[in-house]
Amino acid sequence: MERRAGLAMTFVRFMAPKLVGAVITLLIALSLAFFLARTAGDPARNILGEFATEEQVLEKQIELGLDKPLPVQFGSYLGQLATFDLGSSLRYSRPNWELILGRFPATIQLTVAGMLIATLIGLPLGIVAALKEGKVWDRISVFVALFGQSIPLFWLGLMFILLFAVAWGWLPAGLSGTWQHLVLPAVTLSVLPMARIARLTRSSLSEVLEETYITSARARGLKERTVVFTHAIRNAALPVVTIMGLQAGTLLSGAVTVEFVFAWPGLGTLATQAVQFRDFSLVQAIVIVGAITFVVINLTVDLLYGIIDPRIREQGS
Amino acid sequence: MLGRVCTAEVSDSETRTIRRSGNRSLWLMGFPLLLLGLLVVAAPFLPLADPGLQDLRARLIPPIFLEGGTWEHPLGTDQLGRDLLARVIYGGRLTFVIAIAAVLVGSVFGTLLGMIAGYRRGWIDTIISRVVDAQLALPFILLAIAIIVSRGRSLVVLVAVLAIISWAQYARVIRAEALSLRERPFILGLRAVGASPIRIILRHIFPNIGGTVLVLATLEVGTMILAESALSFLGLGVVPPDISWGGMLAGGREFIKDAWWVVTFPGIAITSVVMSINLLGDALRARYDPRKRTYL
Amino acid sequence: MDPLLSVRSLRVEATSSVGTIVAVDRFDLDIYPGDVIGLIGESGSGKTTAVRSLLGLTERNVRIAEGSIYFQGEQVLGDGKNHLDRLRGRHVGMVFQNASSSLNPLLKIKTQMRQVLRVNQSAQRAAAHQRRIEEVISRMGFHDPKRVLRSYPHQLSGGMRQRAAIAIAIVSEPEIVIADESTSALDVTTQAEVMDLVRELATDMGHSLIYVTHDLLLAAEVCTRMAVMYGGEIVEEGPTASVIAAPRHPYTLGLLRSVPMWAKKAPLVGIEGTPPRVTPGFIGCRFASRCAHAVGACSEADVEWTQRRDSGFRCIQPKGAPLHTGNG
Repeated sequence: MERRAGLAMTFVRFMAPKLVGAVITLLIALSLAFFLARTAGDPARNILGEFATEEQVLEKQIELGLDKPLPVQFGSYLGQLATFDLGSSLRYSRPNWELILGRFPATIQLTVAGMLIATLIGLPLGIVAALKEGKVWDRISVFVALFGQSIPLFWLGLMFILLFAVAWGWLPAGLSGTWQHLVLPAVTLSVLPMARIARLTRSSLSEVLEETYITSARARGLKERTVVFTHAIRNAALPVVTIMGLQAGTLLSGAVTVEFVFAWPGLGTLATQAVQFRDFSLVQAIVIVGAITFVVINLTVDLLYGIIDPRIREQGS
Repeated sequence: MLGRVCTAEVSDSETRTIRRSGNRSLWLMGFPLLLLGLLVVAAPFLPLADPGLQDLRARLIPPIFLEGGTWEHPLGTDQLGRDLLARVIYGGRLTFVIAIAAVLVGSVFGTLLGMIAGYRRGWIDTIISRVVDAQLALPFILLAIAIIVSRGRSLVVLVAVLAIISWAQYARVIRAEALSLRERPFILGLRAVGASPIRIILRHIFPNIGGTVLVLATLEVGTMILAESALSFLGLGVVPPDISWGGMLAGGREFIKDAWWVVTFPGIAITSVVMSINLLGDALRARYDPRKRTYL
Repeated sequence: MDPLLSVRSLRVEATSSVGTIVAVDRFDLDIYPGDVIGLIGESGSGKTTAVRSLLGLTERNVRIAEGSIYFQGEQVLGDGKNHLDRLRGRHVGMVFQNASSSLNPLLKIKTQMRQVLRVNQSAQRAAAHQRRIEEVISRMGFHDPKRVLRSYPHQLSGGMRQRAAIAIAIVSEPEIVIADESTSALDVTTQAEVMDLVRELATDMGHSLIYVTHDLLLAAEVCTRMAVMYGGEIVEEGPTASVIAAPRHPYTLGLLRSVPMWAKKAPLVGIEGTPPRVTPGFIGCRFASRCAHAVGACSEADVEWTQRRDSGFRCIQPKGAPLHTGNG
């Protein structure tokens, strides 16, 4: 019992500074997003177009609170954040959080499916490549990694539509509903993280396999299977887990174009619609949600890291 | 928390494989790119159709190897009857210009901030590292959307947006290198004799990280091409009548059922160029791998 | 008495982009129960490659070109057989040069010990394993053995890690323990302590120890026999006392003269030059290029092994003169 409490304490000591760090990062990120979008830009004019009169622009600025000095605007922005108020959509005249919450599940479904496919294919590919360095599977994995990092995802999506929907008619080209609708966008989205996972797994594992503790595990008489799966892969997993966390951002960005291509009713499509209607309040809310998601995912990765590696767990931040 | 150094670097084994495919690959990879660069630069002097010329009677003509294709339009025409070959080549011009401009701006800022953070350490490092973490926490397309929505579309905004999403990458990698460089004997020696920090950073730190910057910048050109095409595809990038590969894809998307070639050729151009850049970057990295270099 | 392990004409080659190198050649060795054999040589002499080959644990570009190995009379290598993996853990335990890198950083010491027992003593029950683990760890001279078992490698000091690595190597009671430069990362005092411990643990149970080192002095204190390696070959082998008192090979003599303690009567000298790169076509004595007594015949043909009672050497101009006292 006492040991368990000790372990819990270790985890608190390990996670607390990370949590504080995450909040600071998030605050800076959101301020960054505010200033990058607001300074020198004039959303009001941009919304109304170039033919609007000065009076119309002024009216719009007052309506949006853009007539106030920047620090005041920033203050009210922070105030909104503190009260979890994401503002209201200019176009739909509804609270942004309502709109976002309505689309969030679809994006989660897509990104989780994409990450699953990426992991299920990328991980084994990287492992086989490392175990058979220089052989056929190794070459295949190197090519997949190169290809996946070089192709624009939305174009790959278009090509998938051309082949699987237009030419062969096997799968629907867009929208959502059934699992068939999920296949093409999820596979498209998985390609980049798959490439990175395969590449990193390969290099990480082949480095670990050269370590003395692997030779030492063999010298102890352990079976090759045990050596590879319980000794090598667990050690090789550390950098791979990190990259998977960092992929969260890539995945969210990729989701925007992929959703657009497949008319998938998620956050990405909402964002592109908001762009068309110059709904900058909604866009800002989506950016905030995106940043929070990224930070939360990376906190989870840190936690996972601590579970895998006792050294990191103890050294704390 | 996000400051963990990302270890997506080339491992020894990967370097082995790259080396096996030869140091010649450096030239092998660089050559097609050079050729393409020349082609794109020389576009106005080539016997190409006017890429902006619309001809509504010649809409959606298929490429030469399909029935109905003509030598007049080897790759066919788009929805407004414009010659695809000319557009792919001219589109490359702007695509390259934007990507290279963004890489220049991003790498200069990122490298400088990274060197300062890594060399000076202390509170400056804390601030820069925090901002880098924060920058990396913003999903790039969403950030780009936010900026472009409030600023409007223009080439300058596009380059600025691309530079903003790439500087953090340089800063993070370069900071780590500067951090280890500053403890090297020759830098310690310079510090001991009282050389000014600016001089040390520019004359001694920078030359030693030049290889890394070169590798990063090369790979980043590919990333920028991908990012530009994504933004233009979403209608946030290049404004017609300017041509970029991403913009061509956006225009051809609606006609995908009737004319596959309109969206296919620009995509092939992007993929093959980015792939060559990535191969070149890897070959450069195998040569300039900072972890393989021996100091003093 | 039959040897536990016999190695006959082992030849190991390493291939790299610049060509093939013979890392170990004409390697014969018999290990009897209770032997503590010192395998001595400078780095690059092939001593580590040789012992790793005994377990089939060579690196990727290294392969056993020929030779046979018998364990308790049964052939485990040669004639198309390669059952070296059967020796690992169960019959031969190995302690590596640097314990910090030979322990899996993610597993507790207890887990790593238990794994060895599960594989090599699978007939026993978990409770028996637990008893054995506690018994072994309690003999390693830790202040708090229980804490060591619960620890991850990074929570232990260098000396403790080395002891833990030894405990893992001997927990399944292998007949032979190989210690490959196992103490060179430790400070001198700890080195001697750990070595004594290893010898005690191995020989108490009537088991044997192969001690691989470049440190002649340390080997002389611990070992009953010594085998000196040069350029991939054993150049001299015999009981420790006679090797030190009356070395027959000029290289052994050179090694002895470079140890201050034994060079009292002669001036302290190093050996000039560097070891040769032994390629497959190499002919003649490998030491000839550095040997002060070399004659033309040394480089014209490979030198055969000369066995005199319980010791032997590979030299056509053996030294008869004792270094200080004794009668060679």
